Amino acid sequence: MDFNSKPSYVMLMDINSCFATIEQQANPFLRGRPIVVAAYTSASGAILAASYEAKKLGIKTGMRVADGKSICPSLKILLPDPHKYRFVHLKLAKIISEYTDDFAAKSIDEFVLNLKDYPALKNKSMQGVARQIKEKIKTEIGEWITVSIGIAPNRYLAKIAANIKKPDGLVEINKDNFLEVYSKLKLTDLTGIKVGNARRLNSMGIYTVLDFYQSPIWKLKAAFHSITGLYWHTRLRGYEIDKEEFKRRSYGNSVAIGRDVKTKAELSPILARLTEKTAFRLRQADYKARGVHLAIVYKDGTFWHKGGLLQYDLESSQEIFRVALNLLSIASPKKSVRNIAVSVFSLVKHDSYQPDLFEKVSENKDLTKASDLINKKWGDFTLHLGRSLLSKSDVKDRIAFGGVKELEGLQSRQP
Amino acid sequence: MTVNEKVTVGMVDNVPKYVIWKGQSHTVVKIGLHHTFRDGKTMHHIFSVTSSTLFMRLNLNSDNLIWTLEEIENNGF
Repeated sequence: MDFNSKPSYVMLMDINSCFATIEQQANPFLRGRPIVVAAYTSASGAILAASYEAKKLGIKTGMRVADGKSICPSLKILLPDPHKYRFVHLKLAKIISEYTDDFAAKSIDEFVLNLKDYPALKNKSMQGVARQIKEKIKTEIGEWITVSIGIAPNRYLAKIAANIKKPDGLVEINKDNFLEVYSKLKLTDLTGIKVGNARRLNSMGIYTVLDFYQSPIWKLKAAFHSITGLYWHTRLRGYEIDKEEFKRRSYGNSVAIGRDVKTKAELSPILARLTEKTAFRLRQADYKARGVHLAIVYKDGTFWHKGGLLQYDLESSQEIFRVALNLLSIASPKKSVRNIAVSVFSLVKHDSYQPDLFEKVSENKDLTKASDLINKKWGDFTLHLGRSLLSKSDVKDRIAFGGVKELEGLQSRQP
Repeated sequence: MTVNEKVTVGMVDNVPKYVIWKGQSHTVVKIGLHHTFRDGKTMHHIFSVTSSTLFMRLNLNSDNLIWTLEEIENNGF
């Protein structure tokens, strides 16, 4: 199979150093300075985003605040402001929607769009459209916001192209230049190829991206011990295999706890808050759930998790919390907890829902409906479980890493 | 620095031009970002602005039209 000879219609754009760049946009005094957005400002807080000025000094996402400070003592530490980031995300989505309606948010800072057969390409090339979008971002969102744009015949190569030049890049990978681009990349520059996969490829004599591209399917299947080898063969030739959007199978919320918490009594208010968030999102998407799952990561690195399926469907916060609390009793934590996560699974859409003749009818259906209406009108957690009262400072509004599920319904919740 | 104090804001063409805080007027030189969010049905307009020496985060509650100076920072670390 040769490289896809069709024109590049796929564009992937990501906001460079998203959270940090948006903060520099908001506060011009921070521009040109090393800053980071961190989960907490304390020494052990994880860095979520670093400005380019901080990155140049070696400060990276995932580092602790203390490590960042040791590299640059004057490093400015900011807490995340999710409203601000969601606002910019929606503004960018609006700009993109002027060009195509075939687009998807891959995360808070990343969009993929397809312009095939759209009028935007009548008088402009893909690169022309990309340059125009960059301009619009500067005039309609902010002059400090830059995006890196990748153009290619498929999503995967568009992502690789977007990663090649940061910040403010515009790179195309197509049938005419792919060999040149591949010759300049290392295996681990490819999204999805980290040390483990690189080792698998090395074991079959594949050391470069060009080797990878030129390898026959049998060799790649042998390297990955699965059909994944065929997927890589197709992907690197510019054919689309990554377009499938997976159906939602669960809703969940988690929190990294910033203080020393170890008992069930201390954890239950946090669990109540998380459960309320999860249950509200479940109901807003018009689902019920039959399963509840609880996961706990302890500060010593050990992990506990358990899920339970019920005979009836759950939708109220109280019902879901009751099950989650039972799971917490089973866990019976006695050491410091770093993360706690609750999720609901085995989802049933309300419209396809068939009540069982003998099922337990939700006790608080009307109360739940009324409380959701009040919270929508007066703000999240205006009415909440009494148990969650003590957890407000532990469970903050956060944006999930990489995930896009939480962005569902964002449009309807924003102005 | 978190402040959360009521302030008077002068607007021209829907854009803040000056902020009066503690009896002192600060001329807005630049608007970094104007974003909005809803808390229930209440829309909040957040203006991140600078004077010649200060960064200010202003919140206009569109229900009661009260301006709050939420944060203030000196130019510099």
